[in-house]
Amino acid sequence: MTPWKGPAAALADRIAQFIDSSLEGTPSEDFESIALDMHAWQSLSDPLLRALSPKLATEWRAIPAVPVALFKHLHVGTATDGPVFRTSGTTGGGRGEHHMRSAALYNQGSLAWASHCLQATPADVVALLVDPATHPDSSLSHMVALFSAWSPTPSTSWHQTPMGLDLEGLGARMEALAGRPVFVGTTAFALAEWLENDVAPLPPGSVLMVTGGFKGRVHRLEGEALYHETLARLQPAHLVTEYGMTELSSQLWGTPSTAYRPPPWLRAVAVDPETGRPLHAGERGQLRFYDLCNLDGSLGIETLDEGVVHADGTVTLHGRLPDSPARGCSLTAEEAWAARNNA
Amino acid sequence: MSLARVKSWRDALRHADATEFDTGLSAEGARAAWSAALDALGDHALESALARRGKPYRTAAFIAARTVFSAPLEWCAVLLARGTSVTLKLPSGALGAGPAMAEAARSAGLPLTWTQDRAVNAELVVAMGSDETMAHLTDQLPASTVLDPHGHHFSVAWVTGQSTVDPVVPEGFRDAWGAVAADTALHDGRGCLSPVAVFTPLPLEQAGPALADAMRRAEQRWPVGDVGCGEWGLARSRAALAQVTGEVYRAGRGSVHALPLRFFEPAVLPRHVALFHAPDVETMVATLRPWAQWLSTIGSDAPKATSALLELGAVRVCGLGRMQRPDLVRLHDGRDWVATTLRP
Repeated sequence: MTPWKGPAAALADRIAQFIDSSLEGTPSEDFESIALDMHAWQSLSDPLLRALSPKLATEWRAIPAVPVALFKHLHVGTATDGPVFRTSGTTGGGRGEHHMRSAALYNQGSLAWASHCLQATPADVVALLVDPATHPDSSLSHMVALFSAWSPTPSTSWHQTPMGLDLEGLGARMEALAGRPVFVGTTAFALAEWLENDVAPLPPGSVLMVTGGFKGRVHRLEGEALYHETLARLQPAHLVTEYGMTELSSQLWGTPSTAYRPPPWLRAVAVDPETGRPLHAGERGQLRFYDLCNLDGSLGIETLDEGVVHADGTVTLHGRLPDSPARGCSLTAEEAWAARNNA
Repeated sequence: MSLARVKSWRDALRHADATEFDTGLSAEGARAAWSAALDALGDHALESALARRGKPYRTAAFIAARTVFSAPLEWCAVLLARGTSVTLKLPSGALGAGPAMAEAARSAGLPLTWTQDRAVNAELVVAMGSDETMAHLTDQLPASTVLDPHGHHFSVAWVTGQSTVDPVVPEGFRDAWGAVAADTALHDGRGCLSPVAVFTPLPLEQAGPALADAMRRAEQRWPVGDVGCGEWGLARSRAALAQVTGEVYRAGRGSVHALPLRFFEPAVLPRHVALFHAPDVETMVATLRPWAQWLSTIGSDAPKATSALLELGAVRVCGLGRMQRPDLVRLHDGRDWVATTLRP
């Protein structure tokens, strides 16, 4: 039974149809028509979004995007019951919350796009992530848990703990695979930590997904060096990259050598960080995303990441927006919160 | 002998063109910041600092942060006047006035050099920067080296609307809002003496436009310099928070973010100021108390509030317009910095 009612239920149906039909190459309607109707409904329903956009936008790029920092301070969207995903809080100032009435659209879109992008969908899933059974607010774990749908007899294990990687359990699981291909989902930091140990090559046909940065932590393996060592030692048949955020319901997939591809129901725009004005394709700027699956939250999300949106809609990520050239004895909000929390 | 040379050095530096320094500030901003720093080195101030007697260090290193390019000036002046050889360690890409200071010192016969080497070898090390830098130095320096660390701090202002007649405050900025706008503009609002937030008992509908107007005036006089993409992004993010929960008042390229008190956080956003209504000084003190250990200066136009602000833990309470123009002899981060230029 749908948790949505009235216009929201109609929108949810349209979005669900758009997800299926667009992947089949015959979209049920165009992105913008759903986006503008969704924007109108969200503005009507949520005073926060209405305050950001007293006048309705007439073009999807003009729809206001909620900065991710606001999710730490305010309740964004109209859902009060249902799943909640939370940011890790590593950047200080509390944890941002993404509320949904239902994860139905999240699940449909995430699984469909991952399945579409990946060349193989192994039945065995090994996650260097926290267990969603104990951490139901981790959106990344939630997404990887969806991949059990790839097999009628799925087998998923979780190997991240608050103390670090569960290396013993991970080793045992890898041995138990007995040569079956596996999907490994990991953050960059967990992967780097794993590679500090003796590792055997993954079984033939395996897929390794890397996502996320290091969240301020330092490791000798980063970026290209991490990918190089992964390919050399773990030898996955497919090394893929994933870009997602707690505040989004959809993800982008790529490879170390190709840009991130968004699904048809997610569009990216790079904007001028000073003015917020959209830039032309190919120009480097602050990334915004418009995600039709964010029905209960905000269609538009403004990140603090920097990247290039290419003419074909793919995204090259350049990491966090570069900070000021002049930082020193003054506090940034992140540092201040971290210091206060550690005091 | 050294004091005379330091005075000669200071006078030579008055003729230096601050716009040629690597500061990231606008030309007008660089000149104003440099002038304010040199103004603190008056003859009387230098003599007062040197009145404190003791055994000087033979060598000292000053590790500069990226924020306030003129910060090494006062330390170098006092250390050099004591006969200490000083090495300025400058951050990459932010040399500031360091090379010019060293060149002028060479001409004046003073032992001041600069470097970008990471290695530190001196009897006294004065360091400004992040907490990580301080922790790294603490680990790396030999036990025989005296470290004087200056980590993160922030400042705020309390504005009730009283004008000032302080001649130190630039003309045209001696109204309360003008004075705090001048404090915000100097060094583009970066640095631990810049007000990250303004608290006022006045209605925000009155205070917001007044502060924004003053900040526009300040920007006309001291245009904004380089601002990082991340800083713009964060500024627009906080503006969105203010748009939803309070009010945004545009002020040239900057803005005033009028916010409810619960959203206070000591974040530096160049030329963007958070404005909070506090019905009385006690309310402001209560808001700041969780952050008190990082509090540096409170600029205030209400002398009656001073005792409450000092009790909160402010290292320094001064008039508006003086926040970034501290006296040479003072407590720095709560410590008698002049005393630290002598062996314990």
